[in-house]
Amino acid sequence: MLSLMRRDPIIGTVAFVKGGVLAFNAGVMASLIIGLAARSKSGPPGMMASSLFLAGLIWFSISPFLLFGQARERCTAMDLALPIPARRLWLAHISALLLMGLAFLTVIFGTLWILLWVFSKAPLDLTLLKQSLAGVFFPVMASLVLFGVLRQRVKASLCQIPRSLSGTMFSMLLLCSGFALIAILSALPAPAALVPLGVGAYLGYRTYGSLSEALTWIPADAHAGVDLPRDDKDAAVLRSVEAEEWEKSGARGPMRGWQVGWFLIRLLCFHPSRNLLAALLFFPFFFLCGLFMSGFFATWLDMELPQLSYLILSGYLLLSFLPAQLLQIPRVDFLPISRRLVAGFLLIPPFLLLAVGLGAGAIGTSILERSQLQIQLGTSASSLIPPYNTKAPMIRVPAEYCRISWNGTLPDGAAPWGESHPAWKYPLYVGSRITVFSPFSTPEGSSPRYIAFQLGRALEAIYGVSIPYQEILDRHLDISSDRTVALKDPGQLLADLAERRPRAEIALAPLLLAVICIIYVILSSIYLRAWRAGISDTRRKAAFLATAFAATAATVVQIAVMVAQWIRPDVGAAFIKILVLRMVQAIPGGTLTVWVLCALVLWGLYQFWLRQFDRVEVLPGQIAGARP
Amino acid sequence: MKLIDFSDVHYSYKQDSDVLRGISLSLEAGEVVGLLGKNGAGKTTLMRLAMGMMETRQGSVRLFGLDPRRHALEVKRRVGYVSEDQVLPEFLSVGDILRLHRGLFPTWDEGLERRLRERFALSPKAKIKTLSKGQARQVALLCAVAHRPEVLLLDEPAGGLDPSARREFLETSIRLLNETGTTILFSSHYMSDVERMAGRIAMIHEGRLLLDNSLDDLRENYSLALIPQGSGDRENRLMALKECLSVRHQGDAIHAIFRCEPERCRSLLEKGLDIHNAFCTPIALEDMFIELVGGRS
Repeated sequence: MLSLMRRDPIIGTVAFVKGGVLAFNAGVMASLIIGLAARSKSGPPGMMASSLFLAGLIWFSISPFLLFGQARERCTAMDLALPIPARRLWLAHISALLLMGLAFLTVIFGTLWILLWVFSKAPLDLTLLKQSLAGVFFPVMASLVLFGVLRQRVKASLCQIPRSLSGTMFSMLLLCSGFALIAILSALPAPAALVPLGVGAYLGYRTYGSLSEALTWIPADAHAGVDLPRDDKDAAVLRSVEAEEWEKSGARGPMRGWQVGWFLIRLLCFHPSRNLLAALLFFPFFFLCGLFMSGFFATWLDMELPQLSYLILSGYLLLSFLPAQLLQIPRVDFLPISRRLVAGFLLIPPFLLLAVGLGAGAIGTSILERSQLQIQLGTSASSLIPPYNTKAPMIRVPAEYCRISWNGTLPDGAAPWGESHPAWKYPLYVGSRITVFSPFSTPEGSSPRYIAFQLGRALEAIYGVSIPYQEILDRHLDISSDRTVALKDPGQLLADLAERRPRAEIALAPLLLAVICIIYVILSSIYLRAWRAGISDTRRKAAFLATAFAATAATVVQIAVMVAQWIRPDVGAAFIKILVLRMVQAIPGGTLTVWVLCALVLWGLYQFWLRQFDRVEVLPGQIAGARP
Repeated sequence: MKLIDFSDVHYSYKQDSDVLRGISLSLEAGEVVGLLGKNGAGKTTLMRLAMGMMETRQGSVRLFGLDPRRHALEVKRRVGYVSEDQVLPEFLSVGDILRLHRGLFPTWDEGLERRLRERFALSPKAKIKTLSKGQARQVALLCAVAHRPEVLLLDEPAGGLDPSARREFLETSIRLLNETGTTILFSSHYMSDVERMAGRIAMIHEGRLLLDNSLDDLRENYSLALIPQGSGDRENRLMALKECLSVRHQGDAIHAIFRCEPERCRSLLEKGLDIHNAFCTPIALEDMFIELVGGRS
């Protein structure tokens, strides 16, 4: 039985397991980051840690494995030819399926426990998350068992579940029902999970008992073969139809230019169907990732989002497409299509989407910035936006207008009449002398005149317009009876500045793209070295897992550092933006030079990557299930 | 002019385990060479090196005097390649595959394409994934030959095909192109195919070139001696003869291959080793293969 289970087709579904774990990690991290960032607005901490949220994440990260893996193949053709009873084959398959699923669940729960351990020092209440995690384990397990058994009851006498639309619909229904079952069981005491387990065991026993001596073979591809004409007349008709079709095909002319490009994109990015599915899932994500990292959402929602936290993960996600893409190379390797062209079309779709996302985000941000006053004056209850929970009217400016003090000493921000207050300052990391501070700070105790003075300085710094503080005080500030200061009419002030654009153009988009490309090139260069003809699949997989581990570990460390507030995400991002702004201002040509330099870096990286890619050796035998 | 030139080619898939150990072989224009060897002998590796799919560890491969890795496009435009494990993009239809090839090969011969597709009765709308193995191989062959390549590399092209499909395949590819002077290097386990098509035989064993002769030379100047097991160390004495290529025990007899015609072989045995009851005969290619390759561990 063990030997049957070891060579069960389901064991070859490791890619789906990896994909699921990756998707799960990405989901958890994204939720943690966004949840943390939005904590002040979305309610008390722990909302996201509800059982349903966790169960949904876990269940739907298993779904690729359950739906698209080799679960439908109950045995190989060789098994069918051996004198092995159908019941034994079926039992071995379902045992392998359930064990694989449970192993997968263990990996997911293990990952979550590690995350919880990493975040245990963070200023977060993780009690609910821990309770939810413990609470959903048995419901998910019971649902998995029931799902597995129900799916394997379909045409149990065949060596594989036939592909059909109704079968797919049934699987989707089962998947949704599985989630509903988890939701119900999560609300019930843990022993309730025994009921679906018992039902699964009973149904499994019934199916097992109903099987005859041997499973029945069905061809892997029901469409294989051609219809032969039945008589001469049929043959003549067929020939004339074919001749007509050939004529039409010939009239379309040879494939050239964009047609070859589209063929390569289809081959490298959308073939076979599981790659198409991955592309449909992840390609929009690359675009959104670009938008997110450009700061568009932060500007649009007026929230301090950790826009730079996805740099490493983006590089890794781009890399995760590479193995499937490389396996397509033998399909064109014997053709006069240069490796350079193959490389281009292999990289273009995901990187283009990322770049378009970054570019669209940069343009959108720029438009939003012009339509909004870049200076805000108000109180804040935010936990992330400095200066946390202040009741004083606070002047908020974009991060790049803050300053860095390398030795911790701050310049004197005294007004002409002598009033001065200590600036809001934040060390780059815990215990650091390097400090990011706002030169336009208005801490509690600031007089309205001082606020007007700082506002004037901020306007000059951002818009390059000098307005006397007395005029600001008289025209633009509203002072209530309890001496709370607010901007009277930000729209009017913006209208006054209509001709002025914010002065800082930090050209973050090309820099971010360059950084992501550097991460991608480093990771893929390590990985591509494993693609030589003599290197075993095991070593290749090990190389990929090593890069996955490195990227995940780096992201976990990055998030742990951020969540534990050793380096605050907003301060870190502000530090980078200020440095970039200084660089842009210092180099001749400014933004244009940055774009040109980034383009040169990208070109250099591409050339370096091409050299690695040129040496890749992929043999046709490496394509699983390849047809001649 | 050497169209294909392997010079001291070494290749290893694993460290310290060379698949090819210094193969040197060259093909002139218009030659048809059959590459023989046991499974794992290195035939496929040699073909892939010629296509530039892999890089030699030592030595050089040249097609048309060019390095197929460095001048991949130039070389591949002039070469047709069909292999047993070749995969065509399954999502394309036959018509689209041909359109792709038409665009990629400037020398594409539409007349030849029409002749072949009619001969194979291919439908333009049929997707590659719906074709049978034989039909898919026919499409691959059509793609490989319709641009009238100067060099055709066939790596077990007819493996798995039924006899009539195999015959059709070989007649189409080899006869058709060789008539126009195409140089062909093909590997096969079917000795009858090799004997029918090839003018020259190259036999590889354990990464080394064991034999490189014209088929006529093999037929006329090689012989098999069946020698009864006798007293004394006959094996070593046979091997000491410079004409003796291999010696193998087979039941109660010794099988020895000699690089000479049967008459001279008999005379050598009688005069040199005092063996008078040997049976000497011309050797068939299949026997030659078994004696030379099959008998060696």
